[in-house]
This record gives sequence, structure tokens and C-alpha cells, in this order.
Amino acid sequence: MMDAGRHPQIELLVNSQVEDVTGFVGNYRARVRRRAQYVDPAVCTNCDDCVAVCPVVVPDEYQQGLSSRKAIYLPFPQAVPSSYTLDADNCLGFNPIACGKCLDACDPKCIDFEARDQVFDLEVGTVVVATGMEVYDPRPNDEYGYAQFENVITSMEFERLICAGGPSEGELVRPSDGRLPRKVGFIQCVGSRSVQRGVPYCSNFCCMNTVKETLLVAEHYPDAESTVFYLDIRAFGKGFEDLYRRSREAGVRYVRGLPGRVEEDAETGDLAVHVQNTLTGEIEEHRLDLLVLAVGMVPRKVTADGTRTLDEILSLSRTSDGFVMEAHPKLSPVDAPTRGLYFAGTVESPKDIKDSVTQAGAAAARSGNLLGAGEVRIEAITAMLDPDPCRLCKICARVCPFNAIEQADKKANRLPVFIEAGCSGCGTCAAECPWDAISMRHFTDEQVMAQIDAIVTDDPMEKIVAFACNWCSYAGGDMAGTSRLQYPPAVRLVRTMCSGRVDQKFIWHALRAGAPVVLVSGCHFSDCHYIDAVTWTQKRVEKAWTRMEKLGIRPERLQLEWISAAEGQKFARVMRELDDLRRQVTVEEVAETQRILDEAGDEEPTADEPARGRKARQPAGV
Amino acid sequence: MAKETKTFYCLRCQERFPVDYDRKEVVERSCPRCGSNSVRLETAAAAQRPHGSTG
Repeated sequence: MMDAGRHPQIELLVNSQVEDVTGFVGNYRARVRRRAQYVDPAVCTNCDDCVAVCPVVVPDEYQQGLSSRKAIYLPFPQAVPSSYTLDADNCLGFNPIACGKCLDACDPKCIDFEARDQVFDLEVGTVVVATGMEVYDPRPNDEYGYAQFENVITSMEFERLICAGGPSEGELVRPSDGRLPRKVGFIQCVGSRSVQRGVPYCSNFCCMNTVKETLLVAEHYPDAESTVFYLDIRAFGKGFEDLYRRSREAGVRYVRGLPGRVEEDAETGDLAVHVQNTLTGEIEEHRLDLLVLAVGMVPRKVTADGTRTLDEILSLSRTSDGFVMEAHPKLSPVDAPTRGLYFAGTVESPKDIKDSVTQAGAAAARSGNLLGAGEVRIEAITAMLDPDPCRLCKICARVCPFNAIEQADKKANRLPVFIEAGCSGCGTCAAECPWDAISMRHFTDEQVMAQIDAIVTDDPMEKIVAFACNWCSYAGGDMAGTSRLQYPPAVRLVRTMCSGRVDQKFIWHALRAGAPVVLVSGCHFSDCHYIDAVTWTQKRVEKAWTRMEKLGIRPERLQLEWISAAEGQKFARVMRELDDLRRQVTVEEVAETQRILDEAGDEEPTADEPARGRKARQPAGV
Repeated sequence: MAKETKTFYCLRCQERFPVDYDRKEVVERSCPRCGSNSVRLETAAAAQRPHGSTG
């Protein structure tokens, strides 16, 4: 932190919040609100005189509420820049009854109650998102008495207690009576690995953190006894197993089983922990002085400007666990799907300090590579706008997962602007455009339709037209092939970069051309390489089913499937099922479908879309 | 908007099943019987059709 603060090319903006980010790779513009600090760091000498006279006492967040601070305070001893700040929410100087004692006590006169937030724009080439995580709050479930018993604390509170810079200056003391605990218990997986009691995933760092804490207890207090209640100890990583062995050798007792009940002796504050040791099958009771809950890690949602989250501003998507989703878990683990955005630390997944530092280094290197090149090389598969058919309806800008389209302005008769450097080529805009005004390079309507025509030219009744996204479903087909899994030869794949490219008219074209069954397949929602493009695929297919039903075409003939690159088995199974479905479709049914679609045309305008063929837009003055 | 329990049906095996449904929420769904993702909200027309597996 000190090095970062001193580095000539690093500007630290503390107490600041990103409120908006616009632009694209290499050309981002971030609006930043720097909150008023009320103390000029350039003048403050850290003399502490203001703190001595401040009458306001509030819990100290940094010390987990185990000690107090004043309304004017140094956030923590190693804070960079090392200067005091004023907590405006609690300071009496902002109330009608002004206090102002700190103003009088401050010799350098560095306190200014009139200071205001500063809002400014920064032009940046890349953005690294490192907004961290929260720890699980054990109070709502309170299965181990955290909200009831003073001597039940979290691992974060334990960390402050045993730290030399903590509220007790490194002395491990019981919160109830300040006495040194002789018997310390640790309960693992509090809030982790349980759908009912927290989050389903493993929080990664808790096992080794507890092992470290037991060693600290053993080193500081050789007479103290530590007992760890665990499901299993996950000691993967360099040196971790060795640390675990040292903990056992130091006399730490490991009991496999999570306690069912914790009781407190009201007189002494001692705790009785009841647990079934699953290795012996015995029910055990442990008398403890202090109980530490190894709480897990939960994702943090950052609000940017009070109305929008950082996710919305940066078009970030989240996995089912709630952590941000990377572009590719193996090949691009620090890249966001949007180019020029990178992740570092626990915003991406639960991880320990070492992994966070490694990822931060990787994000900085990726960022440096991109900026150092001076220019961005983009894929040729991007969206193109044909200005003539465009009706300035703004749908393209609304559906773009990457915010790569500046929306049209009807009043100014301004066309939407396609930012090629921001476009990742999913094709959702092209598929959703009701006016056929958008085309995808290398995946034009004509090219896709030509593939469909080629598939159904001969023996259409023997064919299944299957649209497969490049990254998952098509790769799932590859996996089936390389695994030598057999599936019917009736299946013919049409590859698109994303299932979001599959326009409804491709489906109608295939059915009209005589395809008995059409499949649209893409990535699972949490795997979509184009943030949320896959959700537009699902909406579009649902619309197509509704229309099929309305027209009298069996919706079963249009199938939807999410298949990942690893699901070769699923790919083969789905194709076998579709082949069964194909066999049930008769020549008469296909002929009837062709007749219906010939009469009905490709699409019908919905209520909020004006009908086709209306007066052409006047040429835009752009 | 609060979630309502709605009946979905599978376009692969015709299974009917209840789902906590919010119109504004687009989530990945699958048939509890066959695992297919070709599932949709049961419409009046779909309700007229035979229930249960076709396979």
C-alpha cells in the first residue's frame, strides 16, 4: 500500500466511488465521486490533538466493533495516505448544535467543515474491478449462539483480538470478562457449504485461516487448548498440508463433526458445545472458554450512484454463486467478457491473499499489455448497421450485452452508433432488430440461410437443423465426437458465435424449407460468453413457440437446449431424442407448416412495433 | 413483483410441473423428468393437449 501510494504512476483515490463508466476498451470514461474528507491530508500532521478533544465515541469498524473510535479518526494505523478523516454521520459539528472542538484544537488548521464531495471524470484505457467481498453474517441463523453469547466470536473478530495492532494489543481475551481463554474452539464452514444455512460453495480460505489461528494460539499461549470442529479440512496448496500437520503436532485437537448445540453457563460465561464425532460415532461435550466461528465469504454488491450497481454500470454478469463471471474460467480467468475490464481478488471467487495477489498481478499485466500495445486488435465478427432500414427504435442498444451501441435519437434523427472496439460479435442486436437493419460480419442473414438451404435441399425429412453456439454447444458436439459418442447423422449443425444470433427468421426459414425439427442450442446461463445474450435467445424462442401455437404448428418441433462444451454425453443424448421427435413428424405435417408459413410470412409485428413497410425514415443528418 | 406458482410443460416429454415464476425474471429452466430445456409456460392451448410422457 505504501509502495502504491509513493509510485509516480499510481494515483490513489481514497474515499472515492465510481458512479458511472462509459466508453469502450482503451477509451473508458469513469465518473468518480471523491467524498469530502473534511481534513486536508497535505496539511494534517497526525498530531492526534483533534481526537483527544472529540466528544463522540462510536464503535471502530476496523476493529470489528471490539473497540471504539472518535468521530474524527485515523481509519487504521497503516492507512495510506496517513491522515485523519471526519465521520460526518456522527460528528456533532454538522448538527444544529455545532461542536467544533477539533477546529479549536487543530494547530495546522487542516479541518474544514465546508468541504464538499468532488465529482470528476477520468479517462482510462482499462478498468480492474477489485471490490472484494463480505464475510457471512452468522446472526440471522444464529445456530451457534453468536447473537446470544458474548464469548462466541467470528474469525474476523478473533483476527483483531490476536493481532498486535488490535484492540487488546495482541492479548487474546474473552469479550465477557477480559480473561485469557484456556480452551478455545473453532467451528468450520459457518455459512459455507450449506444451501440451508448460508451459501452452497466452499469459501476456500477458512480452513487454512483456522489452522493458522490455532498455531498462533499454541505459540502465544502454550498452555491453551484448541479444538477444531470440521466437516473436512481442505489443505490444498503449497505448504498448507505441512501447516496442518504442524497444528496437529502442536496439540490442536480436530473433531470431525459440526456442533448441534451450544450452551452458555450464565455465571461464568463458559460454553458447552455438543457434537457428534463422526469418526467415533460418539456424542461429545466440550467445555470451552471461547468459541470462534470460521465464517465464510459472500459476494459484495457495490452500489455505484445510489440507483445502479457496479454490475449494471460495467455490464458484469454473475455466476449462480453471486461472484462475477470471467470471460473464460481457464483461458481468461482475469478478463471480464467486456474487453478492457479485468478482475482481481475475491470479487471473482473466494480466494486467499496469495491467490488474490497473483490474480491482481495477472490483471495488471493483462491491462499493461493492452495499454502498451497502443492499439486494439479486434475480431472481424462485429455488427454493421444499414442506415436505410433503421427506424431508430433503440432496441439494438437495449439488448447489447456490452453497451457497445450508443442508442439512436429519434428527435435528432440520429442513427445508433456501433462501437466496433466494444462489440464482441454475439449478434443479439442483429437477431432482435425488427427492421433487418443490422448484419453480422461473417454471419450475415444470407450466409446463415444459405447453410439452412444446403442442409434441407435433399431429403429434408431426414434432417434436423440445429443451431449451435461456437463456445459451448458446438464444442459439446466436438466433445461428443472426440469421445466417440454416437448420435444420429440426421443432425446438421449451423454454427453461430452465440445463440443470441439465431434470428426468428432463421427458424421460420428452416421450417418453411421443410425441416421437421429445429434446435436452438447455446451455453448454460452461467456460462454465456456474451454476458446475458443467452437470455435473449430464450425470450426469442419463447416468442417463436407462442407464434407456432397461434399458427397451428406444433411448438415441439422447435427445441431449445443449453449444452456446455464439457457435455458431450448430453449433446449425444439430446440429438438421439430429437431424432425420435423427427420420426414422429409426417410429410403432411411439414407440408401444412410450409403452407401456413407461406401465407403468414416471416414475422408479425407486435403491438409496440410499427408495421413494416411504413414510410422510410428521412436520411439522417449524421 | 412477487413470484407465483405456475405450471410449465416440457416440449420434449410433455411433463407438467409447477415453477415459481416471475414474468420479468429470465432464468434457465429444465424439465424435472427428462432434463430438457424446452420448457414453457402452459398456455390454454397447451393445457388441452394430452398430459404425461409421449415416450
